[in-house]
Amino acid sequence: MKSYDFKVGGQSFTARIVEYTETRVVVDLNGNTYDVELSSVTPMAPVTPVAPASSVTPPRPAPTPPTPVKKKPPQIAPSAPGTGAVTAPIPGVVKQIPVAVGDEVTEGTVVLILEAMKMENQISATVGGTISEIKVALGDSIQEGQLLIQIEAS
Amino acid sequence: MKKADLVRKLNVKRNRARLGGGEHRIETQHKKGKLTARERLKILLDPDSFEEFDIFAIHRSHDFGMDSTHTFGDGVVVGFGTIDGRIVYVYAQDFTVSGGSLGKAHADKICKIMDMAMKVGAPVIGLPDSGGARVQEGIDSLAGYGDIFMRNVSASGVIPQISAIMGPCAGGAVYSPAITDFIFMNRQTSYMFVTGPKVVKTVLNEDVSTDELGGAMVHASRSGVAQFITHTEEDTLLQIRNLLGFIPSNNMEEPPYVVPKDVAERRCEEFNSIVPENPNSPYDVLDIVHRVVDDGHFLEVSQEYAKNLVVGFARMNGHPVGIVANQPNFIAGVLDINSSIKGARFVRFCDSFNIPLLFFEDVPGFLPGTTQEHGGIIRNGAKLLYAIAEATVPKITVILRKAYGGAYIVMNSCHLRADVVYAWPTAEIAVMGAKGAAEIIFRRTADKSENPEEFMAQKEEEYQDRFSNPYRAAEQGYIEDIIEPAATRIRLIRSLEMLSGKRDSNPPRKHGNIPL
Repeated sequence: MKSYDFKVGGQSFTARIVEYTETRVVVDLNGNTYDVELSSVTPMAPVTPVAPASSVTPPRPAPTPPTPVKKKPPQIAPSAPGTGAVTAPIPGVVKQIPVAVGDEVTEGTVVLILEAMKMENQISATVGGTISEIKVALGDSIQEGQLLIQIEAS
Repeated sequence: MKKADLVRKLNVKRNRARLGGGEHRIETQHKKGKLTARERLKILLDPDSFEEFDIFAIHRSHDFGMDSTHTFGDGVVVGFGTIDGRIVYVYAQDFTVSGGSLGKAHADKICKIMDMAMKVGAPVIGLPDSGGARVQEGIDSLAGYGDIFMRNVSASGVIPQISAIMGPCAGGAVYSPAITDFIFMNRQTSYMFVTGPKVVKTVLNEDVSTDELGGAMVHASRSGVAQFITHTEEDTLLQIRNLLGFIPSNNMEEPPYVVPKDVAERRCEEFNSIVPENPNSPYDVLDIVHRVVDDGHFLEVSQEYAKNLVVGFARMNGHPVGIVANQPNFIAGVLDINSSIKGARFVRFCDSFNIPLLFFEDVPGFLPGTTQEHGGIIRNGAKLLYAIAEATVPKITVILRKAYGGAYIVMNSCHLRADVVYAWPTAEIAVMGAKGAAEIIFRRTADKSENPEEFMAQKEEEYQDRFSNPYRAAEQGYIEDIIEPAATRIRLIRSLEMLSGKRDSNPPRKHGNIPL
């Protein structure tokens, strides 16, 4: 079973999942065993720590057992259709912003020039609408997937 | 019984079987905006060409009340017909019969026509529209999937296999289309996933809609699972006919020749100025592809996925070719993980089916960064290299502008057995761009000089003059010629004709070990 190393308030803990079923999780925390009942499967389910096996009380309440975590949504594709979010398809530097907030654009209008791989990449509007926000400035270094411009779809 | 009665009985039975799940179910199918299996085949195939097999097949299951359930044709329509006069085998799952669920008899019908297609050497076109395994039949249903997968694999590279997802295609069922050469999806009714939104919710507590999880757009742009995306079922069926026009019926045939309407000697004067003066300016490589091929007709494959590499089919003087082109208009036309995989699969398809390859190259290199390195650009980029090197069909490259570093070697250089490499005068065949190169070679010397900036600029220009052109490569014989861009079409057509008798092979072996 899985084991987790973590720190709470500077103190190190090792949590080892001994048993994990739909309704019950048994966790070994630094040698102390906790029997946790799950009352629902949503994240941050209320937990009931059951009497520790030893007299040593941990300084903090037992950590929430690892419940299924909602996966981070995948990065928005550069040309994700239907959303007004214009994101960087590649890391680079903002070279030009030929639009201003309030400008009307149609799908495909070049809204930003991103220099990357020694190329002035034209970044186009994903939808037609009004530029509602420009999140970056000339010369900014941009990470892949970073939000550049928000368009209010018309 | 009189003979006339026997024929009447046959007709009654056949007409009943043709209704599949019955008129009520057909109406339900139509209400969902879907056509029935037989209606789809009518659009796909030449008029009156469909010959159906196993219309009277029924399941052999007795469990869970199945013995009193009738499944006419067992939920799938199979047979053969023609597309532009060429024989094709087809199967279309019939959602009106038990939700198109796959039982043993259903699978056996599909296997039968696949076996025939292999003997005859004709394409198989599958139109999945199925709720999945027929649970009542238990493991027999799984056996059916296994039998189909095995045939998909055996047929791979022997006959073209095309799948058009016409409805749900979920669970194990997805792996049959996955092995086939091309997947079509339409935006209205198709979706594919290994596990549906309900299971995703239970297991991962992740909320996702059917469309977001496995709709046509997701698979066309994000996952790369589908190569063609259309608006409607009709579009899909007509596009399949279009695609088949470029590919032969089996791996022993040449791709279908069509008497060209376009002129072989047609010059493209605009090519002499199509590449921007500024090496940092992008342009649309499709402007070149469309103008160079016959009648401007280019069928792009995986159009929405990894747009930095364009792949697709066209004709040159009537003969089909596969085109692979870097797209400077999208992330500088770099090679990254997705484009390498996209290109590799396309190249291997063309090589399997004797379709010559044309490369249009303007590539600044492989995409740097942690996302790419951690994602395995090394092993994924190797796929494209491997596929191109392994291909024995005629392979021609036109270097339009940048041909830098390892990416230059990968993009069908002479070192990977390219037959002919042409360069436009705008070509820069070098290890890297002049600026980066000068940085590496002269930085130390520059730091010691009186004016480092001026020194570097001068060295950059020197490097530019010496290497950022096609003449070095031409002197070494790495490229065959530097051509006038306007004459690209005729030069390519002549080279393709010259190569039409090409015979090349790889060493005998069980199979290579492409870095998957």
